[in-house]
Amino acid sequence: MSSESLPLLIAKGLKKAFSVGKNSSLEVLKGIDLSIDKGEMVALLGDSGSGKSTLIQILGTLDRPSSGVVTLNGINLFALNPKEQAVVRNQKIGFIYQFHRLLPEFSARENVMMPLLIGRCSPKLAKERAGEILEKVGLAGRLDHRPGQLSGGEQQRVAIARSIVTEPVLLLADEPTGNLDSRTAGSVFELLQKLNQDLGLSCLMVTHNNELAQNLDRQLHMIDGCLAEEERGK
Amino acid sequence: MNPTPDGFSTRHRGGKKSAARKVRRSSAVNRPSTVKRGKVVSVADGNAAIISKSFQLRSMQRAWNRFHAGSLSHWTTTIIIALSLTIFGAFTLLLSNANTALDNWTGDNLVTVFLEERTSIEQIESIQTEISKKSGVDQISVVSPAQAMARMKNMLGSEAGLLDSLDDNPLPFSIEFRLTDKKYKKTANLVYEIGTWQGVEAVSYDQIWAEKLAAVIHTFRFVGIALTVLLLTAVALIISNTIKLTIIARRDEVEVMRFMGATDSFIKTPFVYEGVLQGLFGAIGALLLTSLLYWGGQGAAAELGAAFGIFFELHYLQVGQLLIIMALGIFLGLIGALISLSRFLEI
Ligand SMILES: Nc1ncnc2c1ncn2[C@@H]1O[C@H](COP(=O)(O)OP(=O)(O)OP(=O)(O)O)[C@@H](O)[C@H]1O
Ligand SMILES: [Mg+2]
Repeated sequence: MSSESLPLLIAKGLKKAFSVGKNSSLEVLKGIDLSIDKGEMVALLGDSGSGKSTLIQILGTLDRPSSGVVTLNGINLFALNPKEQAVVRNQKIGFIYQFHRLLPEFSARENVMMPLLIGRCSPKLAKERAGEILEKVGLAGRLDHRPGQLSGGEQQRVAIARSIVTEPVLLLADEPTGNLDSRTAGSVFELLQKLNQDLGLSCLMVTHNNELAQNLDRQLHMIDGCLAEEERGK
Repeated sequence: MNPTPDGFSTRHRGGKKSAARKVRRSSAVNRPSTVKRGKVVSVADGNAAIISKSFQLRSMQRAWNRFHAGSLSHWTTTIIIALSLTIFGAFTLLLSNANTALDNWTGDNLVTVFLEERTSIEQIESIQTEISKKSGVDQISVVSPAQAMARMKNMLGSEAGLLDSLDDNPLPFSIEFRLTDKKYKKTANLVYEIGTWQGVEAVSYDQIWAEKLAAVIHTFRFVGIALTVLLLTAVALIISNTIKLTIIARRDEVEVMRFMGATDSFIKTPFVYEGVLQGLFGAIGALLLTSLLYWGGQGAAAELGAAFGIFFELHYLQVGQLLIIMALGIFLGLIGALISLSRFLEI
């Protein structure tokens, strides 16, 4: 009940330092506070090396912060054990990267089935569901293609299908259009916006494309390990 | 070396991966397309079936697919495992046959008392009675020079003609007996005592040879165990290295499995099976090689036996020993994989 009124994702005081060499360490995140509401699409901008990917990985429990708290739907993610974190990633969070990162030996449909199978969904249901989602992203005719047989835009659509197949609440996208030409990038971006509207899922999207970023609900700037929000009268 | 944190590596790994795929694709072009097609299709088609089976079975199948489509290093490792286990098998074969030989030898426990040339029949008889008074003496008999000569001719077989040139029979009278008690010390004492008697030239007994053989076996066993331990350690490291290469080659897949929400065990199990598969195939190879050695060794053993005037038949490894070799292979694969996973797959 109360989680309805709370933001979906809250990060408080996130710090991350990497140890480099023997004695020195590099502080990449210097105290990040962040909240994302349900259904919100947030752009994350910033210079190369400013810590955007690092933040994304931590929010997705793929890396641990040096200090700080992340809650998703009120659940403290870093109080969970690795198995529980895996379940959260499987059920609640979708990931998209600059490269599609599909498994090359498997067909588009099988790639999309994978998260469902990991979540112990029956293969029959998974197959059906993967087919539906691929249709939704405009790939009804490419179900049995291997990733190598798809164009860059199509590969990324499969990756998007895979990320939303378990109906997550949060999409973490690290430069999802970074590897595509501008036209393809535009259509992939539109797809993400449409999914956000249809499914009401929240999205944090790293992008270097200011123009695209302006179409989202909010713009955050990562500047040297700290977040700054762009003011817009919206 | 250090764990590459995910945020940093995402893009780089993505880059590496697409490069790797290019290599893979071009190698597909180089190979006969029908074979490659069939392989790839079977992996993909098999997948629907793979996924509907139990988790363990699925992991095994993935491991097999990797192994099947896998790199040269898998096969190299398998061959190394096979050769190392063959050395172990060969030692086992040798030692267990030597042990059998030892058992057969001591089983006779035959003592021969050679008498001085001038010894009279009466003296011989009195020595015989003296001996038979001793405890544990059995089947005592006097061997005449003529009997001894006949035996010798028999032993020499086709070369017996050499003895025809002798004018006189140079062989002395001797007394043979067996000891029911097979204690080496007791026999040795008795032999020593008889040796001091008048009219006794020398005493020989098989157990001397048995003791020597036992000592040789003992040394060999030690060498064999030491060698085996060294080799198997090396093998475990080689397996772990191969798995390490697989882990590195599959790092991106591991990452992908992770963000899809696969648990550690789900990700690790295929690697473990991969190690076990290598060990298993290595062990099977070792059994084949050991069998070859056995077939080859049979002829040599028969010749060696003939040279010593004994019938010696090589026996193959017992079921238990075969199982040990299999178990060792599997165990090494398991250990190698676990070492590698704990060191190189930091999840
Ligand atoms: N494992 C690591 N060890 C040491 N330093 C790291 C590690 N991972 C990331 N860094 C450093 O952290 C900083 C931020 O990296 P990050 O990948 O988050 O940047 P980014 O904002 O995503 O950049 P880009 O826009 O180029 O993707 C970089 O300076 C990088 O060198
Ligand atoms: Mg980045």
